[in-house]
Amino acid sequence: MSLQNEVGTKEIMKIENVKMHFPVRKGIFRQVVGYVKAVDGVSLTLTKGETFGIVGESGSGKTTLGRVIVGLYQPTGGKVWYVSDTGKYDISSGKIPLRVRQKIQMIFQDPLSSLDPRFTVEKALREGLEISKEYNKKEMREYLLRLLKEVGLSQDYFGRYPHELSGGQRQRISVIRAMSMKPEVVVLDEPTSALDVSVQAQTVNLLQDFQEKFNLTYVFITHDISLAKYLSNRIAVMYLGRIMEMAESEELFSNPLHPYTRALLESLPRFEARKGEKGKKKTLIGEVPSPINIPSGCRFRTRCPYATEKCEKVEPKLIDVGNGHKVVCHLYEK
Amino acid sequence: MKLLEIRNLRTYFDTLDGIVKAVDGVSFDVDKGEIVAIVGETGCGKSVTARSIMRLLPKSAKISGEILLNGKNILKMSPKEMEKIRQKRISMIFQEPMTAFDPLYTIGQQFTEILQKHEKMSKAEAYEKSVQMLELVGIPEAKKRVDEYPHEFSGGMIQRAMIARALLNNPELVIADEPTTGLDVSIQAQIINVIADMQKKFKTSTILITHDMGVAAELADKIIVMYSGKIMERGDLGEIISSPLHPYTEGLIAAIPKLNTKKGEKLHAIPGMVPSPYALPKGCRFHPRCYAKMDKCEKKEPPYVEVLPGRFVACWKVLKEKGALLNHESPK
Repeated sequence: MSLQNEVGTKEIMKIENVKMHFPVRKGIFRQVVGYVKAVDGVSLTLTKGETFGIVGESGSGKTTLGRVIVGLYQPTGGKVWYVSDTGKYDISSGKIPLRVRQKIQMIFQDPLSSLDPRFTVEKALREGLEISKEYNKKEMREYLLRLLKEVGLSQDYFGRYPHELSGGQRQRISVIRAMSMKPEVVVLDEPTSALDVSVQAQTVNLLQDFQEKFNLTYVFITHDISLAKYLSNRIAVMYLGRIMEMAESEELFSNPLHPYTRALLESLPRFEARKGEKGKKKTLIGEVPSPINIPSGCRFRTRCPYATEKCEKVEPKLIDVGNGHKVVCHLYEK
Repeated sequence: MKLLEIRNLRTYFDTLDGIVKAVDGVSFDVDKGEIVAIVGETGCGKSVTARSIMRLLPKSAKISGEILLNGKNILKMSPKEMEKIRQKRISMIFQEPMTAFDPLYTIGQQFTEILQKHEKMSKAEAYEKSVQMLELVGIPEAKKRVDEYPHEFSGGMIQRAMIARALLNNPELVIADEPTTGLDVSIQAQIINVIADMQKKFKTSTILITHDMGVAAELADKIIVMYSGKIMERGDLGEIISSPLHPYTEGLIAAIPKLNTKKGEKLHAIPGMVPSPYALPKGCRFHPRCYAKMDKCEKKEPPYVEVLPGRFVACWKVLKEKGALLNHESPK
């Protein structure tokens, strides 16, 4: 585990107060009547070789944040910095050279919709490499064959179309497609949630192999908290566009501080022998409010069992409780 | 007391590419008031089993075997009799509640229609009962919400309404097909609580179809593990969790990352993938992926037998180790 030691030493990406507000338009003149605040002020630093987990329920903004990190969206506020050996680049500007942009890749949730149905596997894999002009035709084929072998697929798969592959195979093709660009940072957006458990384990192991081999930095976006814990070094819990709590993965699970994190952990269905009566799960009341009308003060207060008057009026600040454990909650203010 | 007995159920589909044996000789019981979970991966036949019980299948489906509800074979019933059974005695909770409701009618209108169709009830009485049921499943301001349309309900609320609808006529058996799939964890936990409460209150038997072993562990009394149209293992929840016998059950359990799995530890993956229904392996259908494969497994299909009291397994390895009890349910 020599690679593990390097984790946390070298900064590779810096996300500074990123905001992504999508306008909501109505009427014949398409007037802007409000904003969906999908990401509403997120700051974090990624270090080389780590897996950074982002967990949250639907509507928490985790996918949008992932897309901002790879540069698919230009944020409406804040900056995304990528620090490589050759220099510091502003991903959020949308004006960075191709060879730099290639270093940040994304693997999507549903491989069937992220692979072109009219492209064979070979064509899909070659597309990106052809743009980069790094290989000639023969080299490219050899390179791709090597990768194909690495994920346990034979040469026969080159000529197949996405619909001829199983879900797990399709996801392996998207993994190769991302890895063939020799990235440094890979954003994994729910890479296994469309797969069955037995196949999920195969894909997860494959991703870990690639990370170990190339010392990759992963941003792992998921709603599956157990999987996030298993894969990540650090985890951020998002709610309505903000990070509520962030800590090393072991620490977050052994010592969750934010009422939201605690509730999420309580809600998890656990595969273990049931103690006591069934149907006595402690759970959150209500549902996630609309990201167009975010509650005043603390955005979690409408569902929080500890909400006070202060929570309604004052937005809590990020509090560092030590060991890199940070929480956004009035309960932990001194 | 046995409510439902399924004996050697086979549901085959005649397709252009050949016959698909979606359910291929499945036998199990559901006792009064218990929750039986059927778990398995995509294509294992869990949903087709459920739909065979409801007889909600396309014409190309050929069902054989016996499905006995209180001792009466519902496969022999006329479509008219069957219609009475649905909703009145067996009802279903679907995975996508938004598509299971009619978008053009309010929740109240849809509930009243169901109530009045099966029971002699005035409109006012039916309306009153609809409100009560919505309150029972924990919908706030039920009096107001009963007059709303399905699209005005959020994902968690519409699933509650779906559960309420399934319980309208006090059915004896509820079949819940992936009732929490697609919901967020906090909402999922709420729905798990509602299902458990309802079972306690109404003493309804439930067949819970899910791919999520965690959800099954939260709710079920018994578990059935299916693979490629067959039951691999069946038994009490606690026993299956603590000591799975079939290598497939073992693999499934080991493939789930638990909260105490350490980072860096490899997840146990079952090699290969689920076979195509057009080309099922000979012998035991799990043998190409099995770590304990023997010569026999490739040639002969293992019988489905009771190896411990209440514990049924279809596996040559287990059979060799444990031997069989008297109760043979081997396929003919």
